[in-house]
Amino acid sequence: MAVITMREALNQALKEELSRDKNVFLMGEEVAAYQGAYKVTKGLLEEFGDKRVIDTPITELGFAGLGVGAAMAGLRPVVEFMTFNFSILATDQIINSAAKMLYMSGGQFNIPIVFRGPNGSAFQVSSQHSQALESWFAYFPGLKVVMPSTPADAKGLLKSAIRDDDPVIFLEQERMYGNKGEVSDDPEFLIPLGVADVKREGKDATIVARSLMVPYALKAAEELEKQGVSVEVIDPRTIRPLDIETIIKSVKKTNRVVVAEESHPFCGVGAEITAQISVQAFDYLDAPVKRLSGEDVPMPYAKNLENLAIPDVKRIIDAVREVAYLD
Amino acid sequence: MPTQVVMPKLSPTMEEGQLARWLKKEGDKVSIGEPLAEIDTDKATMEMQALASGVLRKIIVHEGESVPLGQMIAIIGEPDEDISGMLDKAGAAKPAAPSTNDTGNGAAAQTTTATSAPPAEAAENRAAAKSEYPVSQDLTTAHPPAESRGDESDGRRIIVSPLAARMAADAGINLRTMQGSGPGGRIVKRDIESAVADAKLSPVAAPTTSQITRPTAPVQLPEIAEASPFRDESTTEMRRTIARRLVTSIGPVPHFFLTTEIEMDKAAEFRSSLAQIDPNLKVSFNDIVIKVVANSLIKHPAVNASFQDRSIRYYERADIGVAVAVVAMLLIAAVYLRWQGRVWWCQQHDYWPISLKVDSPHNSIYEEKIDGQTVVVHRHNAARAYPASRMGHHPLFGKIGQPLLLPGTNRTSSYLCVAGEGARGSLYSASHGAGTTVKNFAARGLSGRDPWGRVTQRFDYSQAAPTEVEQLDDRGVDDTLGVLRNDDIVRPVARLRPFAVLN
Repeated sequence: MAVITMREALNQALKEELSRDKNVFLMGEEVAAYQGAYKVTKGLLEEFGDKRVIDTPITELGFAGLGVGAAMAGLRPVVEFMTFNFSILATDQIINSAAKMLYMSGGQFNIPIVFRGPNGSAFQVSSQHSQALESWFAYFPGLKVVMPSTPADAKGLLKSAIRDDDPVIFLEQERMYGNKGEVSDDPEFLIPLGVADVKREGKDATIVARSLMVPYALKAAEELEKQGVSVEVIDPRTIRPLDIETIIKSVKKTNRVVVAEESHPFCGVGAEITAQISVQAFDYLDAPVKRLSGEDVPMPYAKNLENLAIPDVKRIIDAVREVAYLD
Repeated sequence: MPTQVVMPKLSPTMEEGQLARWLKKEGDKVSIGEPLAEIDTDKATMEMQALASGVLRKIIVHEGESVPLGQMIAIIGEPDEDISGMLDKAGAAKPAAPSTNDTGNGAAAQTTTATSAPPAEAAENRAAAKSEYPVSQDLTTAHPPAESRGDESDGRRIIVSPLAARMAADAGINLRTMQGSGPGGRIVKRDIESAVADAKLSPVAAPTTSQITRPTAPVQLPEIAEASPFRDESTTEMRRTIARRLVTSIGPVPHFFLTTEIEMDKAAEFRSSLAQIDPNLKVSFNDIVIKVVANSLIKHPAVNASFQDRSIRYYERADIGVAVAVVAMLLIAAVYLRWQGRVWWCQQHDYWPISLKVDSPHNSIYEEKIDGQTVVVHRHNAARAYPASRMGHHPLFGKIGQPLLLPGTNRTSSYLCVAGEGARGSLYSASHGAGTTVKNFAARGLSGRDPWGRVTQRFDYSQAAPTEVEQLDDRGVDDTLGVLRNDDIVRPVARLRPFAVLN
């Protein structure tokens, strides 16, 4: 076990999987010579050569399609989007080809591909480059969607994603690349997809948080503990398939829920989680489920407005106090 | 010195009054004894007189609002007198935040002559008046009470979290009697927890409510037609009281009906002789009947008594209520129809009243002959169990023995039994119920939820909609029955499973 950054953890996962399986290869804009826009692919071109680590032109739809074809032919591509904002251009290949192929070919073609890159807000990159797109991909049957919140989860989940036989959307967070944590160096350290993690146990309220919101939720829980409120923090880690059982179990214990997310509220993942809770745990709710989402506006450029557009620790604390009827 | 006008007690049973109409407006001069407002009490609309002279400076409770006795409803004072201190008092129970403006506003209203209050201030005062109404004042601090609260204490919609509703049903708590501490008066988990702790009502067989799950087995409910669509019409205090009292009168008073024919010729003679004494004296037959009933009640105190749960209360005076037909009396039919759709015996008998099947009192004193000796047997928490040999005079019970009921609880079966010859060993007495055993069994884990997942619809006198209570298995009541049966004190005839109870 070593304490490393999330960037290093992702790099380790790629490196280990490239070494383990010769069918795994990487491609994307600036992944090879420049070693990745966020240096996630650092050192990989040197170690594995330009047949396994490939710089592509700035054509997201093109190289996404290339990846789907390679996957059909038996390779295991890992395609990096410099940010997921650019994946919007590639959605025809992701949604119409990768997600549908197994079904439409009557089970003949698995698409073992990973699309990865940062998702959500960064630091003042404004409306077009700050989007949290998980609900887009989670919407379609045929795609798995993963959102790690710690270096260990990032590594274990990325390795599982690469070994998975279905297309996986692997959503990182630019603000979190430098976050540190203990990570196993066991080459077989895997975290299964579809299993939520209880990041903190508590009994008075549950915060369901993912990605950037997990460290915020944990900080809020710490603060609330001082105020005498015991908060459980659940990180689903995988959005599709969603481990709703773990969430429901927690709700049945605490009876109050806050769903915190960076993305917009309307038709968001939080809305789905809220709906499932209302169906499966209605009789256990002591308060309406509180959704704390990013504002329903394009991300502003101004720093102060950007800070207001996504939930922060204070707003999470206020939300928990609200559902626990403390204010 | 300004004078507070408070909600007066205008009838002996009045608990709160509804302000029907102000006869003066703010700024009007009033003098002692002058009619000030009309108040709707539980009996009638009454005029309320001013008890001070001066100017009606401030109306605190507005038309249509109900407040409990003694609550300040207005202020009378000199035209330029400072009433801010008294206004503060009126707003004392109010949330902290707005009360600071209150004095300011009050003072402003006072200097600009008190004509009509600005709407915002009026609203604030309304809030102030209302916030004193709910029992738990501190709970209203964060959130104003929901619109419907306070105005219609009985017709209000209960706001309750799903969890709290389920916990209340499990613990057998009537939500109507509760004040919620959540926003808008929502009843939440902590309210039920504290109610359970207060009443030391531990939910039977459910030590931790969070572990309870809904029964998965198909619930065997009798055929009950879906509830009818309805509309709610607000009522006057009087109609509400009539309806409440009518429902109550059927409840705690055991009813039975005797008929006899009485020659009234003497009464008619008496009545005309009274007219000869004083032609202005109007005495009706009804008056005579009431007088006779009153005399009889005094003469037979056993009839002039009521059951008080643990005792029987004997009255020294005969209080007789006479129902007077007004339009509102249509409510009798309404009460009856509501039950008809819900309770099986009403469907089976299309007449009213019901017929009595079994009555087994469990607190009685009888002079009885036992082994040739006359003794007084006081059965306290025990039912009389006369076997056939002691019921020889009766055409049916002389053959089968006296019927008696072995009641379980609202959540278990009860048994209809007949007394066996073994009852001689217990001075012809049997258990009056199995409630304690049922509770003990549940508490010790010897009995659990009804395996068929059946539920009891629990009706409350003050509440139209029933709550659903999960039933228990019959281990407790069966155990009690087993003891009685082994000694041939009783023999079970029929098992009665409740599906609706009226508490």
